[in-house]
Amino acid sequence: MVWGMWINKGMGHRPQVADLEALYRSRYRHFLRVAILITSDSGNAHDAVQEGFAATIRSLPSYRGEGPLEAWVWRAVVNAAKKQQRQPSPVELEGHEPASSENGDRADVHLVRTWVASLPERQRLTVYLRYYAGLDYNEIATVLDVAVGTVSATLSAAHRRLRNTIEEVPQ
Amino acid sequence: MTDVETLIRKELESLTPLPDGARQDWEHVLALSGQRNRRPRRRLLLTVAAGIVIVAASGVGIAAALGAFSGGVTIAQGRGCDPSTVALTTPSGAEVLTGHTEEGVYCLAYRSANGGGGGTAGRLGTSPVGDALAMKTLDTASHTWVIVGLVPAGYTTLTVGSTTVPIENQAFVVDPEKADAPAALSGPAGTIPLNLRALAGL
Repeated sequence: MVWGMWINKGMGHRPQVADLEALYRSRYRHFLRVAILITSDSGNAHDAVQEGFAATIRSLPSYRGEGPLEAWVWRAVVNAAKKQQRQPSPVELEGHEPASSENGDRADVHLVRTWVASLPERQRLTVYLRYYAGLDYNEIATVLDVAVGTVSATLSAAHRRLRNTIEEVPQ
Repeated sequence: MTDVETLIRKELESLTPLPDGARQDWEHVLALSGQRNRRPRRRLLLTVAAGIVIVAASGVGIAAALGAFSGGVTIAQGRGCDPSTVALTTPSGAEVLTGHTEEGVYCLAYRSANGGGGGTAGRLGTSPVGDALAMKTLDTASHTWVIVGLVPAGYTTLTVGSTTVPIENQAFVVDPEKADAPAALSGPAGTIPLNLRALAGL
C-alpha cells in the first residue's frame, strides 16, 4: 500500500506531465478525501481532482517553480472543488460513523467532529490541508495564496477553538 | 496542556479514513487537459529534461524534505524514516534504498543512475492486498517506469506470472507491465500472495 510519495528530479528539473502522473497515482486518495470534505459529494470530488490535475497540466508551461509542485496541484484541486461545492458545511463528517480509535476513546472523536463542524470555512480548509493532506505551513500558504503568517494564525485560532471545545465538554 | 496537534491527527484520521482509490483514471485527466494526443511530444520533452538533470548526491534526503505522508503513518513518522541502506543495485545502476524506524515504519526510495527518484513509507503487514510496501516510480535515467517494493524478512523470491524476481535485502524491482499477473512472495517464511497493482497504487 502506498501511503505517501515524494518526487525528486534533481536541481533544475522542470516538472513534466510524468511528474504529475506519479503524484496522481501516489496521492489520488488524499486529494479525493480533501475534495470530498469541500464538496460533500464523492462524485463531485472525483471530478474536482480530475479537473485540478488537468488544469495543472494545461498550465505547466507557465510554472516557474513558485512553491512546491504538489502545493501547486493542491491549489488547482481545491479551486476546482470549491467550484463544485454544494454547501459549506462538512456533510460527510456529520453522517460518518467514525471507526474506534485504538484506545476506544470515542469521546475525543466526537469532540473533534464537533470542533471541525464549528470552524469557519477558511479555518476548516486550512485544517484539512494541514491534517488530511499533510502539507506544511509554506505549502498551505501556496495553496491558499496567503502569507505563511496567516496560515499560522489561522491554525492557532482553530487550535484555540478546539481547546475551548474541550473545556466546554463535561468529562 | 493538551497536545492539540496529536489529538487532531489521531482523531481526524479515525473520523474520515482515506477513501477508495478505485476511480483513479489518469487517461481521463490527460483527455481533460487535451494531452491525450500529444504523447510523442511529452516523450521528447521528458527525454530532453532528463538529459539536463543534475545528479543529486543527496537526492533522497532532499526528497524526504519534500514529502508528505498520511494514512496509517503520520507525516512525522514518515519523515522520520531515513532510507539510507542500499538494498539492491539494478543492472542500470539505479539503487533501491530502505530504512525503518523503531516505531515499525518502513520506507524505501528509488534512486536512478542520474540521481532522480522517489520514495514512500508505510507499515508492513497492514495491507489487505499483501504484506509489502510498493510504489511505481519513474527511472529518470532510462525513462521507464518501475515498481519498487519492500517485503518482510524471510522471503527470497517474487513470482510474477511466469517470471521469478530475486529479492535482495527485502527489496525488489519489477516491470509495471507485469503488475496484472498473479504474484506471490516465497522463501523460508512461506508463500503469500501479493496484488502488485493494488500495492503500487495503479
